[in-house]
Amino acid sequence: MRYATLLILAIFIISKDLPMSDQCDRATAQTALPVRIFSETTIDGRDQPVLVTRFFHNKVTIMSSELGRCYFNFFDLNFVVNSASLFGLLPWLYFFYRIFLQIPKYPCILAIFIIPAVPLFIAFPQVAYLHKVFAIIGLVLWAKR
Amino acid sequence: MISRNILLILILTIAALLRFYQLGHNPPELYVDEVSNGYNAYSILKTAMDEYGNFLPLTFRAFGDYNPALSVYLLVPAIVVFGLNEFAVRFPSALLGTLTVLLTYFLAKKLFEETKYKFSIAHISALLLAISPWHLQFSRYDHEANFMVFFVVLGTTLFLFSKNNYRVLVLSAISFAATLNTYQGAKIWVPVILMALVLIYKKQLLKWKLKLLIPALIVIVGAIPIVTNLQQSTIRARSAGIFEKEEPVKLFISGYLSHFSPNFLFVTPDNIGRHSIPGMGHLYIFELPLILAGIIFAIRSKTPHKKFLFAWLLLAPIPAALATPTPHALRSITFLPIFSILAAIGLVAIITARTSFKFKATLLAGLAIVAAYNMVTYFHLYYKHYPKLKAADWNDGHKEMVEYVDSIKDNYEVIAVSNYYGHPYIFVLFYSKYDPAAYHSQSQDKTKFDKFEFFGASWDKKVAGTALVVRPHWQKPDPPPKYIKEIYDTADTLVFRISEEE
Repeated sequence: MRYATLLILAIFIISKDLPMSDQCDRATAQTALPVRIFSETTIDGRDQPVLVTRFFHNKVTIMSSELGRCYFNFFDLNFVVNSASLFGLLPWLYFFYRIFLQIPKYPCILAIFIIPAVPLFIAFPQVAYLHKVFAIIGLVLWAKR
Repeated sequence: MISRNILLILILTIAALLRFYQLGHNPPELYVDEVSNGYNAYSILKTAMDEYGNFLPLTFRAFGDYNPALSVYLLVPAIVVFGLNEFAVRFPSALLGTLTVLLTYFLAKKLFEETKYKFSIAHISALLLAISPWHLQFSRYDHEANFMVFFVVLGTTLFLFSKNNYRVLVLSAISFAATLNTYQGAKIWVPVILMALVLIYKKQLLKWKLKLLIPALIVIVGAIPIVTNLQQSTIRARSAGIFEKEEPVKLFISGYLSHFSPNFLFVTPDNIGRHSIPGMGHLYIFELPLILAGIIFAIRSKTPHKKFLFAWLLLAPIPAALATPTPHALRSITFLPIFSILAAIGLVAIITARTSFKFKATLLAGLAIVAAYNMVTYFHLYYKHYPKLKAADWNDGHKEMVEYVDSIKDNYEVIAVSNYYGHPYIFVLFYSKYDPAAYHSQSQDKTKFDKFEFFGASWDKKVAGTALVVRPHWQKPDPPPKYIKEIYDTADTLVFRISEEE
């Protein structure tokens, strides 16, 4: 019975359509860069030393913030639900619980945080599949508990 | 002991400085709700009645949303001391915000009293809340939600301290009863957090047996203003709530989950200009690894209070998820101060971790650099960018307009003010310090009082004599009238044009 339930949940997770998400990567970040630098430095005005303006509004911090925004989209729980269904959310959370707390495997943890950053730099559009994979692994770990 | 107290005093000084510095000037002007609360408090002070002439009301009608009353009554002493001005209206919020930092110290200390790091966790929690962009934002303007945070943290802290002290339990109940009368969202948040406290600490509570009836009764008494005005008290809930929208369950789930979005918390805040500063999330990015480490450490820790800590974290978005739009920084202010406590646990966990000194030192130095940059950037954005970028969100220009109009009003038969920006009458009442007793009899018709008329798309002259007309900058009547003054906001954007018309 338990395995049958888990199998049904796995079917839900696998059959969930992948969400359509806006493009968010290095290219979009670079497009935003000149606009943000212009608007932010204009607000600072000319009466402020250039070094101070550059300290707060520079390419490094704005690119980091834009890329960070794209990167964090991956860990948005609504994105997880849209990728792996609501039934996938609990096994997804269970997967993270096990990886971080019960059987901390540091290479695994590192990989989980690095992989979502890959699409920011090279074409790798199906990153949402990872949520299905994490949720299925979560189900398996639950079954083996 | 002395150094601990000195450290706490230092943290409180930082909290107070950050909350009171330029309080009346930044945010640039009073938002319409602050003006309404301020004038109603002024009316209570002068006449013991609200702007409508209701004697000591239990809910304030204001713009028809019947707000809980406590937050208005708390403004009265500040207006007595400082007069009716921006600083006075924001003073109670800044004061309670500073006191919430102190309460967070005691709350965190209690939550981790079983560990040897309780003082470190308590000090760091208080410091992180003192500098929190989320808490600073709402402590620097008069919003009832900030009052709710104070009373909930007070009630919870007292509850946790009440294990062997019945009087403290009664005080906790009084605090929760007060919370119910601070903010609309408290009507949901108080029952939710009380239920969590009762379920988690039922053993501790049950030992009081029949004596529990008194605290329960106190909370029920606190709910009387809501129950007796149920129809009016739920107006706001009905207009913003999800229950009258399509697919409410789906809306609730996605709204709930959206409050855990790292983007919402750390990078891109919600879209409402009064809730955050553009370019930053509601928490500092350096807190992200600390919060994650804090969650892991808290799960592994043996503190008997960890269930409550996680219950708070998981229940906090419920009031916000029951309304739209989501995520919403104001309605989810219920998260505070849990993130600060979790980040403090995380920092202590990293400092005390059994790893190589080199690794730890590198990690902490990296975090310190990011933290310093985060904070300096926040203050730059808050004091330099925010007043210019979000002037319109703060009704900037209304004060100058009213002060100008008030100075020359005797020269005109009628003064017409556009209601394009919403509720202009309250700005006129507040900034001209209009006698509340004289206003009560005119309060039912919001389209006029005294010499003032308030109009929509266009104004038609009905009274003979010269009129002073205040229009939004884009409204250009044909033929053009004789303009005598233009009002600009902090960002140098034209807000009003004032003209003389025969």
